Amino acid sequence: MTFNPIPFDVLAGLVNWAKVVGCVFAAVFVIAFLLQIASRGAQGPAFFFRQLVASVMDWLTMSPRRIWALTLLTFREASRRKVFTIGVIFIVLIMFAGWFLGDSTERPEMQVKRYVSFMLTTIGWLILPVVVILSCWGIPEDIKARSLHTVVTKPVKRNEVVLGRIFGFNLIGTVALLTMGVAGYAWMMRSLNEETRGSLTARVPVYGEISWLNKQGNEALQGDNVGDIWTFRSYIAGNTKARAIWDFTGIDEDSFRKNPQTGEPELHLESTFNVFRSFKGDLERGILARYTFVNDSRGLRVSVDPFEVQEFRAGANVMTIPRKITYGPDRSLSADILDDLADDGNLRIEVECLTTSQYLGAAQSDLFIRLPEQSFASSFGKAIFGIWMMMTTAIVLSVCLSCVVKGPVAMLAAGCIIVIGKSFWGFLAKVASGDVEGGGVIEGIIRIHRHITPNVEFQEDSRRQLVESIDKVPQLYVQVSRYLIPDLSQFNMTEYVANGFDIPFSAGLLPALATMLGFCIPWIFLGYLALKFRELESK
Amino acid sequence: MNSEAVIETRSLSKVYRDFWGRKKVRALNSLNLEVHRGEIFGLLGPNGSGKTTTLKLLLGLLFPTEGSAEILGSPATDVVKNQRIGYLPEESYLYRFLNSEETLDFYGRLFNMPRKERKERSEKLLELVKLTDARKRQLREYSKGMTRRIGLAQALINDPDLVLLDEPTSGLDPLGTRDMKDLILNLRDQGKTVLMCSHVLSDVQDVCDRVAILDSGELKVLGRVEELLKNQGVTQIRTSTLSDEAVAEIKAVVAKHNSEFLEVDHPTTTLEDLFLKTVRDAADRPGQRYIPPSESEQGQAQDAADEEVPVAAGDSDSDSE
Repeated sequence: MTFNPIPFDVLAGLVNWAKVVGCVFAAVFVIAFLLQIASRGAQGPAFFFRQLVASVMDWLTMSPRRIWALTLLTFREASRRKVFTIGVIFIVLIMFAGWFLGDSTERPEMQVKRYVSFMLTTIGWLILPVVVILSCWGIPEDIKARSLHTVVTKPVKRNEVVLGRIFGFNLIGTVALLTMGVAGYAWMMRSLNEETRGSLTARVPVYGEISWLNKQGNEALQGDNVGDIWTFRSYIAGNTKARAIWDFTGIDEDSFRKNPQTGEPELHLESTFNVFRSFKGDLERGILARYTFVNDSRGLRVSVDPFEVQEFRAGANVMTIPRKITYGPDRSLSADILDDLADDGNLRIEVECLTTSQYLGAAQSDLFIRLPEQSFASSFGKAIFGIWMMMTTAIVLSVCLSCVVKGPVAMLAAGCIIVIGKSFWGFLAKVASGDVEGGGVIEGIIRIHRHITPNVEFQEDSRRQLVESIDKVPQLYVQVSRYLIPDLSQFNMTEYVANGFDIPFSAGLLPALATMLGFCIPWIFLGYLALKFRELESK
Repeated sequence: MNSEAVIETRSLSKVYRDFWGRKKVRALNSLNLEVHRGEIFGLLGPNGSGKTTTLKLLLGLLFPTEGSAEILGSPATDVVKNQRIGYLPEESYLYRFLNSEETLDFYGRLFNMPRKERKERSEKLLELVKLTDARKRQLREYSKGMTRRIGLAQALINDPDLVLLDEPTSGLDPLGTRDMKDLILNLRDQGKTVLMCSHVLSDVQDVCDRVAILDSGELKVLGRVEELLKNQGVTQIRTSTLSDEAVAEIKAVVAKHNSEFLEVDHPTTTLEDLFLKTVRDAADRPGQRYIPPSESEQGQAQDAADEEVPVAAGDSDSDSE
């Protein structure tokens, strides 16, 4: 399992968001302005600015009562059309799921992983199509049946219609989601035996920044490359000066856990290091590694007992280190991790490989300090909140598309955006940045035609430059698309919960929240503008 | 805008275009119209004449291609004007999964009415449209007449100054039609302005003060109903039953004044009046049935009916076809 432990940079995200949204709205306003001039001539600009002021006023004079009326209407409509039969499907699924999921011969954490993954995936995939279908059909059906005419001939603004519909569908989804979440949690508690339930944990990791020393003990950008194409980890050579160094910040009393027997505070270091063997050696024994606490300002280096890293053993390696470490040849010296080894809350830990000619693989998330655990229920709740954010984003997208086009088209468009955002956003980003091997569209066609593999460079000549120039056009389109399609994988927090981790706010919930708000706010404005300037009775 | 004019259109035109912006049809051509405060105005015309387009332009459901429309002093596209407007669409486009109580509560909320006011107003309107007993039934279970009535109730939820009615009597039985017409007249008595579109010309004639007739998107006729319908070439005198001698004397008088005697006859009542009388009598005397009368009874009934004799006389120089 790999997590991105880097906290979300709110300010940088906000600046980027403002740039993109500013460009989109500038384009919309310029097009609208030109269209008004084309259709109304000299009166066009005045009409445009009158409508602009009216649009601003619409937002300033919104009525919560009217929005709530439309929200309730949407909820009633869906509930009376028996949308909550989705619950029956869910119950049927979990009634029989136990037959296929239960395997008492498996390790408890693997059982937990399977149950949690199944539950959260099922909930996500059940709720998403339902809310997308409802949201895509709501306003177009209203227009088709002309019931919207009776609404907009009351003092109802179009933004109130859009918001009322969004909140209504969201309320339906929320009720369904909460019900499924609670039922799913209760079902897991009942289905798992007592021993397995013990593995329902929510570990709270504190990640540090990683840096490297090479074999000569000099600073390096990364460790050795052992030829593994999977470049997530890099390696430190055994019995050399190579080190992987973690710098943890914000270490205080709360970073320590109390020993259940002695009550003494201790530091829990959890690692998931990898091993690369340059020779087979004794496979029964792991590779030896060692932690060293370093405080450069006080000239202290305190190493603790080595530990084994076994590549064939599943699960994480947890080392418990008492806050007061005794060290030295006869353990006559002692150092307090917080008072002596940490420098103003900053703690540096070096990791070295002690087995000669073997390699220890590490990445930033491979070592963390484990804080006192949170409850599994809260972690599960956060994952449900992640699904809720994904659902909200899908609803806003669907409702706003349905303000522009009819139900089937809106559903198709929303479906495409959701599938790309959920499964192919990473690839999209790669294509947009030009990191995909084999070049762009034209270059790809030429390579296929000439049977040239992607890793063979094209000859540097004017033809190559021409091909690259042409390829920049579709690439630009993909770059724009990347900003208009949300990365829905941000909302999937199943991995955290299934692997027994608490979902961090800064690296988990915050980017998801920012993604949701970042896309929903401009979409709502665009949906409102589309509905405001749409003739509901147009033939 | 004229201070008396509640609705004013100036060169209002609408052209429907296709997806590519090509002109499909000119539905309304340069309509100039004023509807004054406190009157009932009828918009007439054959199918496709542009009357529904006019109504939708006035409601802001369509945008004009040229010209402008003002309602209650605001542009037709201004949402604020809707605060003082009530609209009954042709087909009562309501949410069929709601019951009538929920329907009125929903539309009341859209006017930002507080709960107490919504409740009071709903009660009053349900009583007015005689749906108190059916208040808990979903609209999908309603007959067409009931749907029209709840549609009217929602149009009046805000006690509007201007009521726009599209085919108000469509789907109503004669009793409901009469109630609707009484209600429209009652609205005028309360000082409200009513604009109605209808195909039922007798209904328009019964209630409207002024009418406009549209054809092919153009205004063809505009004026007060009685002035438009008055036949200046015929004089009508109504008296109680006259003897044959008296009729002969009148004919002589008409001839003496060089006028042509056209017709002497007993008037007939309307089918609507007969229907309403029958239904009301049935309510007063339940169990009464129709029994075919004997010959002598038929004779007496004929005498009783001969109470009024209209006498029509034309000017001597007028056509008497």
